[in-house]
Amino acid sequence: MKKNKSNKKLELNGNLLLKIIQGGTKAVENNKDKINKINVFPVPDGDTGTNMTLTLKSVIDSFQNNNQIHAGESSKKMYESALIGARGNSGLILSQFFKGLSQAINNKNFSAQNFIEAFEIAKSSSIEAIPNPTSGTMITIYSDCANKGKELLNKNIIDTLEILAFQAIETVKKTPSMLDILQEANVVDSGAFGLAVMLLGGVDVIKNNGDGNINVDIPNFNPKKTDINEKFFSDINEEIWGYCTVFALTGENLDPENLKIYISNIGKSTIVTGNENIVKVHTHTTDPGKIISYCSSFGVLSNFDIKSMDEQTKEWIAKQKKNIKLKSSGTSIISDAHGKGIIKLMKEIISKNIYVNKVDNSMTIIQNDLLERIEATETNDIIYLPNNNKNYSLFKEITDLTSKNLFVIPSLSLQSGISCLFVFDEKSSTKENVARMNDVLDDIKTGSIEKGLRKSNFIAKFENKEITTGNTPEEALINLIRNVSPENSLVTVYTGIESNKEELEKALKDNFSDLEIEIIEGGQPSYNYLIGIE
Amino acid sequence: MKVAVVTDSTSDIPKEIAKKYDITIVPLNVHFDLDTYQDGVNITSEEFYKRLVSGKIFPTTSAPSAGIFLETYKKLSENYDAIISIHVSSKTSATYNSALQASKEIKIPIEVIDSKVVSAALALIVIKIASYVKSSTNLKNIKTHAESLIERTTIFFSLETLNFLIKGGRMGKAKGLIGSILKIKPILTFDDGEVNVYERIRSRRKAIEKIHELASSFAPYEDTAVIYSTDDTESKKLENLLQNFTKSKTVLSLQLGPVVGTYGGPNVIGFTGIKPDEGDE
Repeated sequence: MKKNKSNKKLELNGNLLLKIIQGGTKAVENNKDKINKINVFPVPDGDTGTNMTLTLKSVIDSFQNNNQIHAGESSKKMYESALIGARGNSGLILSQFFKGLSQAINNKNFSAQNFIEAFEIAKSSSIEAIPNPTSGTMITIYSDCANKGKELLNKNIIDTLEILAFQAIETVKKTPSMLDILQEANVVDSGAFGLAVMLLGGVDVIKNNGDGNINVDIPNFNPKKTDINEKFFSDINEEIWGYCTVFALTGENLDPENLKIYISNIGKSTIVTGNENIVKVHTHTTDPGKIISYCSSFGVLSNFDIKSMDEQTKEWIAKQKKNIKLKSSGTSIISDAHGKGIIKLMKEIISKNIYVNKVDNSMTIIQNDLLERIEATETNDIIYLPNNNKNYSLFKEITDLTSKNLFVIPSLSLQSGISCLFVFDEKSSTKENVARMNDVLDDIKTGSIEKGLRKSNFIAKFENKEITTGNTPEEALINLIRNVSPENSLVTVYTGIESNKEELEKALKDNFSDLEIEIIEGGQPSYNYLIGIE
Repeated sequence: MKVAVVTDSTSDIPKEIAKKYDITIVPLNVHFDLDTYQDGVNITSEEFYKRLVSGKIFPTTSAPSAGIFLETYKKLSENYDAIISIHVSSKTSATYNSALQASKEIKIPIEVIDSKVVSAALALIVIKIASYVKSSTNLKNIKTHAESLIERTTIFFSLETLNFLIKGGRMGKAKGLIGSILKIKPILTFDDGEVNVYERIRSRRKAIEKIHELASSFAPYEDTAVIYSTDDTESKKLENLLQNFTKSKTVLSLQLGPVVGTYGGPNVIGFTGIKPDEGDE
């Protein structure tokens, strides 16, 4: 049911234009917090709503009264104010809408067609101004509205604005499918949403005779869904962004293009827009001073807005993290090993979240490599099994060098490492698993058979002490077992490269018929046999 | 109303107990190559295990046909007014399906129930139902009671070797252990009607220790039973332990019959218990 207002003929003058923008401003201000909350692109600093509000306010505040007659003149004034007062990335792109209006409206009265043209101009100048114009942002709104507008021939301003506002909302819904980072963070684009809100505010003015005091729901956004990817956060944290630097430059014969080239070399996400008299600069840089110095040689600088993005980002992330289930739970294992069969066995025992670190015979490790491996691991909790007795103290130090929860298990041999892996239960907590592994270490005793210095001499060591020898590795092994005489124990023998499993099996069965013996092809090059007794 | 209690030979219920509680047992078949025997009818456990351990032939088993069940049910309907038929897990044997099919042809009220377990665990449930039907004759109540007992049944066992289970294709959810580099002697259980690994253990000694541990930690129980296949030395110790945790004070000792023994192999050790109903008392 159309209201009274539409029967009275609307005077499409500067006054109405201002009123429409005022409505848009009020709407954005009303919904500012919502817009802030979903701000993740390009910088998750959570201030898109605030920035758009301030930008729009600077536009309407530049008008002293509501007696604007000439729409064309009003629109140009709006653009100028928008340019100077544009805050943040979104403010800048928003100002392009006013650029569009200023170029489309030249007469005393404006038309629905002017608005459609404005979107087209806003789209192309935004694309020019921004270094990496991306789909799924405000630019897409401009684009979709411009295209929709082409279908609306000869519709009046009320219908036009309303249809374009609804188109904007439809486009907002699609933004997560266009931009990965939105998808990951499970939000629609904040700037695009802000723009749609602004249009709806304008519609409220001309259709309902309202003042833009409306509440707009974020399309398709379920605040209870808490699946924001941890990767998203780690991606953010990794980029060094520095300061969001914004300022205006007023002068003569200014060259926005050249300025943009220079500034792009120093800062990221650089937007330089304007004309030969006024230029607005927006960039992300670690060295704002350099850019300001450079620009100051071209004219007068004003409207400074410099803030640290790191702080903002960290604050935002902290706020989000409170509501989110992070995917970094669970425990990973890093286990040093050598010997093809041993490595294969480790990977079989633990199927997920294990990194078996292939090391050489000496089992020496470079601390940095280990640290890198630790940082690259997805989970926060990491259990590290060094499986040798050489550098244990070195490894202990590593816990201080990483922010991850690193648990170094004192496994001094491959045999004990394997037994530790065996008791790992992914359903238990990290602490429980660490306790279990330490218990296993109390139970297991280790031995080895290796070639001695003399020919036909093989040395059998038990708990690192040489206890017997043999003329063949098998003889040494049998002597070792006999010597230790393990009753009621499980004896695991890992065969080195040159051994014959079947022969060994027979020999051991013959000699020790009542022992539980398990033979595994370890493939370790340095020892003929490695023994574990539990 | 007289209710007949029926089960199958995988329950391993000794003849005396079946007689005492008036339980009808339908036998499965054991095949050694071309020779077929009825479990508990014309082959004893002793004979079976002798052949199992010494022979080179792996035995196989087969379920009783629906026809056999129909015959059994028909005969029972002459002297009873209703039947409750409780059987080995349907995921492990076709026995339940045969019984279900046959039950559709019977005129008197009959309930066929999938116990989701086997052997002594099935035995405990059947024996308790056999007592229950003396006092309660409402078939629906009996069914509900059986379902409650099934919920409260725990079973843990350890095999000397997984080979029989693997060859017999009954690894269920424990499939992941096949082809393992390590010789694992897991603690097995029944999970939703299938064999599943409760914990991986590497030595026989530790496995037995673990079984004892589990017997204590899952206590108390209303009724319990220990199971063994070829050697009851370990199961006797387990029996002593379980006595302390069993309300009824008697711990049944059941030997795996030929059919279940086909999959368990020699030197099986385990226990089963029915936990008290939280709602009671």
